Amino acid sequence: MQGHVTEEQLTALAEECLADEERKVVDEHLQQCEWCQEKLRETNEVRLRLSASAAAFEPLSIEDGVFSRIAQLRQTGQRPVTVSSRWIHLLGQAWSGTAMRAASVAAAVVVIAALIGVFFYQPSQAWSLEQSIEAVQGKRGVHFAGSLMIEGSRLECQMWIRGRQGESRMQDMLLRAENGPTIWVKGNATYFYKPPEPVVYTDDAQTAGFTHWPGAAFLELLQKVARRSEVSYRFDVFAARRLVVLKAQMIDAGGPKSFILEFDPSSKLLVNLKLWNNYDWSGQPTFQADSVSYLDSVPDSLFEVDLPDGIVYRERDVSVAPETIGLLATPASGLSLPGLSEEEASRKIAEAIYGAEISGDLAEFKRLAPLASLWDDEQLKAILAGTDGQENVTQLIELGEPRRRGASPLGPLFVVSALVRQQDGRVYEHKIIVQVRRNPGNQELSCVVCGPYGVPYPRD
Amino acid sequence: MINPVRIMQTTAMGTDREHIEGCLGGRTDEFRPLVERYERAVLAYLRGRLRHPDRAQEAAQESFVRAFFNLAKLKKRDSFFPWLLGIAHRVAREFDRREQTDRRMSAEYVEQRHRLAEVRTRSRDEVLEAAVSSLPAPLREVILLRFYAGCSCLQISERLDLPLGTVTKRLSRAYARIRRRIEN
Repeated sequence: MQGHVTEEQLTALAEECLADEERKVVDEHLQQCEWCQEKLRETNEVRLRLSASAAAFEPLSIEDGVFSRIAQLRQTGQRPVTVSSRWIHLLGQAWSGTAMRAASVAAAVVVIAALIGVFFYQPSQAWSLEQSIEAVQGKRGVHFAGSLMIEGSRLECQMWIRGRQGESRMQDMLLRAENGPTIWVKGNATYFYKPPEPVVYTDDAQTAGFTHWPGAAFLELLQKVARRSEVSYRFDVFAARRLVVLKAQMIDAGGPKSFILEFDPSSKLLVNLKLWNNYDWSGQPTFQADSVSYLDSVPDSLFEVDLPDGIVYRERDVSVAPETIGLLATPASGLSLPGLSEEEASRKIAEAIYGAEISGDLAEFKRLAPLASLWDDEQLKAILAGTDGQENVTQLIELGEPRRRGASPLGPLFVVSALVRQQDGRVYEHKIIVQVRRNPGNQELSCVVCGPYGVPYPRD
Repeated sequence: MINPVRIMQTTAMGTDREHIEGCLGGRTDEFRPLVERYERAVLAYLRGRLRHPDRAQEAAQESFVRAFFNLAKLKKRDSFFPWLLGIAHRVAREFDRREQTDRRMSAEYVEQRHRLAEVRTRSRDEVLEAAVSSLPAPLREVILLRFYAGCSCLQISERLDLPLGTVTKRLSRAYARIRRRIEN
């Protein structure tokens, strides 16, 4: 026999599934090959362990329970909440034979009735956003079950959010994606953990979650500032209830957003949510919650994450999207700062951009932060003013020390923090990312602002 | 490893297809052999997945009930077991979600976490069950049938409608993965 016996052959041997001739060859090889003997021993060890576990596994039979539940459901005419929808089930049965012909007619009636419901339904219970605001008053947090786009893949996830008392902004967040990362926000920091890598990556800013959580303050904001909103109604065939559908667009610190929010007209609560990181609901939603539950109290322990022993924390590098490199490299943009160190240059451009914002010089702002030129002036004003129009910076109180936090093909990236006063009088910590560039010819230093790092964090 | 009494019962009973067709013909009792045949395998999977015997029991019951009421949707009637495991997987996911929400909303949450931490000082069996539950579906099916439903490789190949070589290949891969998982 050439080489070793394959693991499949060893398994087949252990399972007594080898044909006589092949078995003979394998047996002969095993007698003289210690490596294969070891492999067979390993295979048998797993098999033995499985056998021992199975032998010790003597659960109570569920047979009686299954049949009594089937009988009970039949008696009441109910069906279990099916994994796939009752809708599909009904249609599936309707086509499955003569016995179901009557059911087929019934199903058709149900389908038509449901469609009529969609097109002609007028809500018997009046709904207004004010009522939903009233319904969520006093709620401290929310739980979502749904899905999220992460690195081009849609992952099922659950998310818990605690709102800041009396504000629309998020305080804490925990997101658990199935077969994906666990991400949590605590204070002004964000943590990313994806097993099996024994590392928690950290950002010293709120870089994940919602800028505004959907509590009362957010709904009030939506009422005031939504650029476009329209209300319609639909019949949810899966949950067998009518829903109010609110489509809205807004701009916040993270840029443009579009939403579809669905409310239960009887409880007035938000029950489904879809969020797009664009202005026109185009493409797949970035986040989709198929279930929304409001929480009256949110203990701190909710945001504790069990981590295995030996985990290390590592600061995550800051990066810029490759498609933005071209704009960031534009020579006419930014500030040319020969003779300054990279840190000094980063501070200088931070001072300059807050100066431009405070004086309302949008052209200068766009020159310093070339990605802002993607917006027209009105849009940029709206972004700077924030959701409630009160987030304009009116005073730069203090600039922090710039910290080198990564690099792009253009050069090092710095994060500069700033304490600023906003139009509403409150003090916030802002952070921006600065791209330091060097002229390949004379090595002269210049820099541009890439954009905000995380969302503003209250410091008063 | 193989319980001969169980195998004889399995062999003496009809095929999955026959029982399913019996059920669809209105004979509810035809579902009983299917429960008997697969309950241990489904329970073993759910115990590894949910790490809680009572919840696994409840989820297994729910899985069989859903399977019963959805039998008409099963197109490949020889593939009852993989289909049933798929239902069990989704039920487990729902249980997980519900439990997480309940637990987190409860005032006893912190106390439960301590208890959970104690439970996580796992016995060898729990490690093994978790390793089996984390296998990809095709590998998991053969392991559950082989050890928890007491089927021989030949019976697995008949039940899953696979060549015998594919069954041993999947078993081989499953053993390797389980070994790696246990070692880790």
